[in-house]
Amino acid sequence: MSVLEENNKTVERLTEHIGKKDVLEATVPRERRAFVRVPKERLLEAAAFLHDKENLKHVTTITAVDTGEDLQVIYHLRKKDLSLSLKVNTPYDDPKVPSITGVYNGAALYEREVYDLMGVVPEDHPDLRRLILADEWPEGVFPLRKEWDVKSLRKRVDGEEWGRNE
Amino acid sequence: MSEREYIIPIGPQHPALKEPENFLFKVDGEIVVDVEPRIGYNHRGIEKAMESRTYIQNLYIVERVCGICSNAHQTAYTQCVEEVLGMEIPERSKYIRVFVQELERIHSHLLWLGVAAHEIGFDTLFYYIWRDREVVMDLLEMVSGNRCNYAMPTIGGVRRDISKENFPMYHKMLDTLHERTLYYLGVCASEKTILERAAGVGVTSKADAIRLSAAGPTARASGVESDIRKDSPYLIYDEIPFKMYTETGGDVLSNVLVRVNETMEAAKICKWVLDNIPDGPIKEKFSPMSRVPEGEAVSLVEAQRGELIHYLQSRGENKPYRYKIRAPTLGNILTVIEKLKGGYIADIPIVLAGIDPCFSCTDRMVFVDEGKDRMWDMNGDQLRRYGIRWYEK
Repeated sequence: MSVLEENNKTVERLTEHIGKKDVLEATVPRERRAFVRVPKERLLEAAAFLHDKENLKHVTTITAVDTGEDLQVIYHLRKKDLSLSLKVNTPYDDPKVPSITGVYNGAALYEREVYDLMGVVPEDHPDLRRLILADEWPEGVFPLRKEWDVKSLRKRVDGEEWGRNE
Repeated sequence: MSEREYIIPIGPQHPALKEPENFLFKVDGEIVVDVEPRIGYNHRGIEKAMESRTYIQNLYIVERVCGICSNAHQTAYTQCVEEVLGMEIPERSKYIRVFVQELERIHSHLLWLGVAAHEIGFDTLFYYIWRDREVVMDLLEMVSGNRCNYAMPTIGGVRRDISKENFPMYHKMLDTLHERTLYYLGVCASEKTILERAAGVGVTSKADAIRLSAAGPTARASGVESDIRKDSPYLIYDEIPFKMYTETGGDVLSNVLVRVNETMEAAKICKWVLDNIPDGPIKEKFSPMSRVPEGEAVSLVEAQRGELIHYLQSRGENKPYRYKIRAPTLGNILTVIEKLKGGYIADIPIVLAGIDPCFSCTDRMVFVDEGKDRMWDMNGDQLRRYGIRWYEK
């Protein structure tokens, strides 16, 4: 079986496990890459299935994207010959997602990173604290969100206007 | 916290640190009980900056994410953009990218080996290795014009060609590197100083390495067969005959052996590239104001320190909508914490250096005895000497 067929099979099995209605998006753009979107309520189930049954034991990183309508969290999971990006969306006014650290122990720091920079709150994270931003950074300012550009961030954090207008 | 436990903060700032980080060590006498990382002292907002610059401008930012793996970042970035563009790059440029990438691996691994020798107080070896590392630095300078930040990959190919007339000289230099590295392999596997300081120190089991998603040589030293060049081949790595080295010890010595073997393998890959490189153009056209169609791509590259991921989301503009970079050191921090727990204070420098982090100098430490309200400072050099003295006893 070719790698591409193998990857398609993995996505099919995941779809079967989660149920077609709850797989909002599933693409395999080329061999060794796949993108699947599920509702955030089903995230843990999908992650546990991929970890236990499909042998995707490695979490490469977690990306958070400010889509303009809501926040998207992308979990990049990997095994030999497949890097699967599992996506969930969560609204601005309730930016909570279940923590996958229980399933993927290696995700602990990545979840703290998205919490810090994008304000995505992983629920039941064992040790949720600031990781990257300075201790004196103002609460509730998530620099990677699109509401901030470099200039307004500087004004908000340093209280002065300086630097190049971007 | 018991009376016997001390908290030792290490880091974050020192001019010699490549990437400042801060670790809080909880120690009981000589034994490290717990470690708490605090990173971000070098957070420069590169992801945010990239969202407001064009794709060509970003080429220069992304190269400056790191001074040692600059080419790995550029390779990952160009691959990512090319995938969204649907652009097929000329065959010759793939070979040149691999050539520079493997030279960079040699230079980085030799640099690390020298630093590791220095950390355990074996400075003779450190000087020898860094002398030989100059060979690959000269080679990189001949190929690209620079000793670091080579600016070779660009969107659509590479910026400079390599000249056939120089190939015999390149071969000769690579032979020298291979021969010298082979000698160091013998030294590392048999020299008593190294064995006593590195064997059995900072151990991670295979199960832990998988559980904590360790990356690159750190994972391979624990016996995890994971190498992006094999797992998700990019450029021409699926055509190159090369071997993936793993060790089973999971300690600092295994880290040394994996990296030394990889250095020799990288020299072989470079020689293979020189023998097999096809003629042809080196670049596709990509104009500075070009727009990139809507789409997303995940680009994986095996950098020197392990798996490097770049993720691009494009919305059809001439700037990325979202760009994400995760360098391998972040992936290995949980593993190094696991390695440090239960070890001696004297082993902190070599274990921290063992994962080849983007910082290798445990600079300024403050020892705080909470119960007795005492405090004293120790800088990186003193800590290193403390470690060496401790082992001399």
